[in-house]
Amino acid sequence: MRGYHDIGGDPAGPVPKTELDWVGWEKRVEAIRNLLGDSTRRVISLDELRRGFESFGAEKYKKLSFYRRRIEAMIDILEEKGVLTRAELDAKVEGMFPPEAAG
Amino acid sequence: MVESDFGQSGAQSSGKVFTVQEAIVVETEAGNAEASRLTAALQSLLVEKGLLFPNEVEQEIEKLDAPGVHLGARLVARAWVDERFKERLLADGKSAAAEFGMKIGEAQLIVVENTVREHNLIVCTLCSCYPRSLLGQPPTWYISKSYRARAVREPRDVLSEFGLDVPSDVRVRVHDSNADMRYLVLPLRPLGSEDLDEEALSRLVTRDSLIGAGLALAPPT
Repeated sequence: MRGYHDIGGDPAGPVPKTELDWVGWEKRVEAIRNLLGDSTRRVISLDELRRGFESFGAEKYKKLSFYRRRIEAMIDILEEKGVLTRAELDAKVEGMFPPEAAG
Repeated sequence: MVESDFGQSGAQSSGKVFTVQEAIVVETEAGNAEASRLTAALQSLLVEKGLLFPNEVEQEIEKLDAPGVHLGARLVARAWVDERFKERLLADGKSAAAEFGMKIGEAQLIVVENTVREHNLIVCTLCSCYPRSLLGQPPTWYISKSYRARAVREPRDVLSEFGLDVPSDVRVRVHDSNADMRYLVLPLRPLGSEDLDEEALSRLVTRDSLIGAGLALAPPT
């Protein structure tokens, strides 16, 4: 079966000439993935990361930006491996960035 | 690798209107803020769990920022002036890069040579494979859905949108990268660059010329 990420040859519009800056959190996502995949840790390989976002389902895959796909896939895999849970991560976000302060 | 002689029908033939947001999902301000919080929390949790050391991520970010077009340009300039180096580069990109102390960590590096008869273009249809340890991050358009989809079917049209019209007697070869094989284009040495030294030559090598989306610059007059 052809996956939704397998788009080579599909009809598509003009190539957007946009060159977006690589923003802080995106670099951080890439750095964390590199470290988790290095030879001392081997927690998430690049192939596992791809399997992660290639298992999102087409809707979610299409909706997320490139680096958002990567962090979401990373979290899925860490959860799958029992390293952390979404609930734990959500609590961490709440703890570090209380909604009152953000509001 | 895909030959370019597919039908010329493309985006327009389906009658569908394609939006930029479909080609590349751009984060909103709120999306960026949310993702930043999530990333910071993930990092902090992984430090707590002993999987990452504090400060390690910052050091890794510095490493990510270090490579750039200048590295690819050095390889190309050397290949232009040194035939034997060029042979080594085309035979085994990774080892040739290692001669300059450049470490290609992610995969094999296959260098493809542009000639007067053949133009090479690089894409990754499945995702975003790119010689990152040599060139840094790919440009936004490289990871766009429209580039990934169209580069293999209508490369001449895509190149033409980039301002490069490849003559019909020049064959276009498209290379689809993957996790194990990354590509780099060895662009044609520009006419009139005979008197330039390696350093000056390297300044003619642009990022796009290393992907095949452009040509090396003409020498300054």
